Amino acid sequence: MSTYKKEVGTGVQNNAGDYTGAVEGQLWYNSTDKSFQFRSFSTAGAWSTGGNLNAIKQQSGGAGTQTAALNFGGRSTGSPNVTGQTESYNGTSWTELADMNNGAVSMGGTGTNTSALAMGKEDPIPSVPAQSTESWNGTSWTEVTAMSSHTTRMGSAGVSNTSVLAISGLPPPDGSLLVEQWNGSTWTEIADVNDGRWALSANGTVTNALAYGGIDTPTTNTAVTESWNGSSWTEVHDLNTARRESGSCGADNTSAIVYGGETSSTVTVANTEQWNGTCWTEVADLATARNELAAGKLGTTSAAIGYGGQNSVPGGSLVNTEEWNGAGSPVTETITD
Amino acid sequence: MAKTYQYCVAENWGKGFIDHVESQRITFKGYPGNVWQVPAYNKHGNLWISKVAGVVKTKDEAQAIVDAEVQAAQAAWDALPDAEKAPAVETNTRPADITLEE
Repeated sequence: MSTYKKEVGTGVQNNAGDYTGAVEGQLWYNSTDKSFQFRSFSTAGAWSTGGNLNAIKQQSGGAGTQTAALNFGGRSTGSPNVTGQTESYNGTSWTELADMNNGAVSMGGTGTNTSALAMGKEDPIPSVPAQSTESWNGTSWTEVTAMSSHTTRMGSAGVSNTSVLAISGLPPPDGSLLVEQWNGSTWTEIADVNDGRWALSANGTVTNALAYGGIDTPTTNTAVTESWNGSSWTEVHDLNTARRESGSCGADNTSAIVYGGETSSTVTVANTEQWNGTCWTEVADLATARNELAAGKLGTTSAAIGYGGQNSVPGGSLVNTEEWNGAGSPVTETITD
Repeated sequence: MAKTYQYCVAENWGKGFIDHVESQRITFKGYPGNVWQVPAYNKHGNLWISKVAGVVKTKDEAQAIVDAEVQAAQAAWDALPDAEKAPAVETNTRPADITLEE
């Protein structure tokens, strides 16, 4: 320790738990874990486990970020077991909040954990129209104007409950070309996508978005990626792995990350790909392969989150959360020997 | 033949179960039944198993655990009404077998 003080100019700081204020290379003593730790920066992105959901869930909706996420609706193991449960994540643990008015699965969803929208709900209860929409204000869900189309299993982009794109989706077999924009009070149909599909992924804003993957024939997954500039959709570079029912997030049409999904009706994957505005690059896999997971839709390529879904056994719903930290993220390392 | 992977059973408690540094150092694969695959003959893999109090299993033991989970899911699927097995949209397919790697 005297050598460390002589070299660095200060003694080793004592801290109860992780010392988030440490600079690169700084050593401290974690009095909670009773270990010496130091700060480094990751050279590559990686997934780590986050807090588990309170209820097992698949086909739920997601919104928010890695440290402020929202999970709503979905189903637990078995059939139908549809729920309107809502949970909020603070970066460590999930807390149950007010339920949706109508439980549903496979809806689109985006926004923050205090301002989110759930739309195009696939509902096994016939009395609830598939195009119904609910708005979240941080405390409760309110039914708002229904979508114009019967779309469900769409891609969704947008930053709040007043600014959302609903992209493509059902009906089968090939998927809809329709795209609708929500301004907080009405849905407006805007320019179609080039490739209609369902169970696709998307991210971004109402003026700058990306849509990728999904199913574009009755049983065939697609790798097609389309970029939205606020007025039209343009096909860009394909995903490396065609897939559907993945988690995804990203700021705009130059920055996205897609993780998990299904490459065939019986194969779930852990693959993660990152988009840089030009092409998709394979990065580190999820620890648990899964499809039909939810994502914090406002996550980034530096800090993303995926939760729930089903593992390799269809019907095997999960409570697990995984958190992505991209290259260059601060990392706490523990000295073990 | 030297094995590439080792298996253990450990319950994922959430935050901190696999941390960022561990995930950078080794590749984890989670399977049904709380079965986890990590590299064999690897210090970081061994340290992680110790950290999570994992119960080490041979590949055959791990495979039996996974098989039991899959077979239970297959039986549950087989018992579903036909309408749910063949919906208008392919959403619910019969669970497939999973084969662990050596």
